[in-house]
Amino acid sequence: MLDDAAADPSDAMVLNPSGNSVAYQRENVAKWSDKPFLDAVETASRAEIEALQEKKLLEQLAWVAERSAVVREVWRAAGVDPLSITSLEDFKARAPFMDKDTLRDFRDRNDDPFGGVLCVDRAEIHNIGSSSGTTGDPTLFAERWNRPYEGPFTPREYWHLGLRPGDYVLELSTVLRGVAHRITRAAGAIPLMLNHDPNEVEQAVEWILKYRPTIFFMLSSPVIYGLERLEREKGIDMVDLFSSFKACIYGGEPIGPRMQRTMDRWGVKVFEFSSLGDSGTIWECQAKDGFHAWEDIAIVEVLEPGGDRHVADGEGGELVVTAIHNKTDPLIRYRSGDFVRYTKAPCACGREHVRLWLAGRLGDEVVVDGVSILPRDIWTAVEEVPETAAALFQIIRPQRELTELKLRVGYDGQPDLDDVARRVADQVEARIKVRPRVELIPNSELIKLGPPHKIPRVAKA
Amino acid sequence: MTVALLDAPPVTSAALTFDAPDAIWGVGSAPMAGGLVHYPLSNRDVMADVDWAEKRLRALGVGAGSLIDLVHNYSECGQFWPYYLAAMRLGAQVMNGMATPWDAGRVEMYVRRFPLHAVLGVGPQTLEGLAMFGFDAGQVFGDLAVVGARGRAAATLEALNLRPHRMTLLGPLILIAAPGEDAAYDMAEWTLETDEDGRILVTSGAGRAARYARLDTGFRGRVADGRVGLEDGE
Repeated sequence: MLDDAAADPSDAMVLNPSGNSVAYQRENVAKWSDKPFLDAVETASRAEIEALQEKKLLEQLAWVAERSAVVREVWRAAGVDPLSITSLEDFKARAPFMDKDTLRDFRDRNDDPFGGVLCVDRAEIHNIGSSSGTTGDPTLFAERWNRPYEGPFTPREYWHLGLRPGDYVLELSTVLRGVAHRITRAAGAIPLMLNHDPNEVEQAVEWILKYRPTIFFMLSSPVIYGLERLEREKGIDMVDLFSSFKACIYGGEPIGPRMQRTMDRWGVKVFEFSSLGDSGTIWECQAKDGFHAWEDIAIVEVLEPGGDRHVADGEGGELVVTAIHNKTDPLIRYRSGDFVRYTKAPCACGREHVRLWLAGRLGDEVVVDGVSILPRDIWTAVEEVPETAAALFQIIRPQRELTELKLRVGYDGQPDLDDVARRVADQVEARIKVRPRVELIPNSELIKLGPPHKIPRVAKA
Repeated sequence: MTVALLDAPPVTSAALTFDAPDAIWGVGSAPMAGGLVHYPLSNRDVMADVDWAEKRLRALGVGAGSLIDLVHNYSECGQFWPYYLAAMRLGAQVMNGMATPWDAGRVEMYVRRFPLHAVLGVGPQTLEGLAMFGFDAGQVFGDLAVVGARGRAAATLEALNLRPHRMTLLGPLILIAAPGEDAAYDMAEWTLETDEDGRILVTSGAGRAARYARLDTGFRGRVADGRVGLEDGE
């Protein structure tokens, strides 16, 4: 089990040169085998998963009842004592919710940057990272690096996708929530560290040809845009370039059909990942049939948007997450604002941990003359116009209900802007039956508005 | 003559040698006169650099309970990672942000929400971003005990009546110079010298995984007694 890593208090506290505890690294090394899974819990049955969840949940509730200021406040207001919860089902029936606004409100009223979620003394924290903040002041993540599996992802994902000790991982990464190389090192691999920047992909090409890495972390629409430009201008053999990778991790945003065609042409083995409601990440497995959430780390619920009714297996709703492993800054029954579909049916990969499919963020929706529109509805249309094929665009959303759809769209080169705007509008109208007003700005300017791996898909103005 | 010998690190059985001193920790990149070059770092290299970084942070007043923000891009992890571990060894907590215009908002957020002791790595892009978001850099950094500024950002902050330390990525080294002083460097790990044109050349120490020999860093200045002074404007 994860917590056994802390069995030796001294080694559990000492960090190795990779920033992982010596005890954790030793335990991790002991797991390496010829099996496709790293941890036994990965292949647990539903009954085993839920029994483990219940045990960890009740421990977690006792922990946060004593230590999480925001949980105490939220539960007191709801008239529910965390210690009165007796089971998983009882929790799902009675536990109150929190969301980003809950944390921001607590933060501002109490001058607490962590929004009341911090459950340990600040002196125990090693690193404070944050979300990208594309939708407001960033959400903070406190990390204790001597606590395994509390970071954004785990070595399990890499192991399942084929990474083995001694391999290289090409990390075109960011410095947002900590640093990814800690997890690469925990997995026994060697990080090749470069910026996630479409203007620096030529450097990445050189490194790929020299080191022939196994994993590419990570691809995004801006990076693929940079690689396409390199292919055009330098004639790089992309099939050869990607031939050493067992998995290329794509994150930040959905993959549009045109981009998928490009990656198919290059023979890229793409696996997507996304956020698990600020309590970790979810990754595609080899079966590529949904994103797995680790249910020994978090309880996943899918509820009707704005309500508290659980939707049936296979249906869509709002993702609600409870962290049951994280003891540092756990979120309890956190409404993520992400719209997902889910199933707990066994996956072809051999796991029964819940799988999710992403539909979009509830806060990104606009309604124009009664028509509901999400960024992914626009994607394909923008991609189909060659000058805007990088699909860098924003929906202008001063409020949810609009009388006119306005788009800010990035373009490449020096085209006839009126002509491009007309063709983009034609493509959008053909797909969603709403004709947008299109403002064009250079891709290079639009990229500046967000973190390197994505841009904010909605903007107030 | 400038020669760079940059072999790929050997792929060994990490399962057997994971924390061994000579096992490769990662491959970083160093900005040199001819562009970015990649170089391996062993566990030994990282820990030697942690020892050095600890001395530098102590000199900046970082200690138990200090909060510091390291502003760097991912390609600079080879140079900045030892500062994370050194800060943690001292009992400090580390935040991080990227040296890009967009991420200036996070730098400002950390300064606003936490009683930071130091922000290290502020560059022209960070200042550009602060201006883009409507922040006054003088106010953002005015109350900090230490600001480490890169390149032109140092002069910009001085014009705002701040006294920044000057931070420079001299290839694989980080130099931190107090106002009006030259920067110390780790003579046990690196040999720095100048050529006849005043260009600063770097040679790696014998124990390091990367083997540099008189590689042109792209900077000019003077080297003497374990200290480096860069030409004005560098």
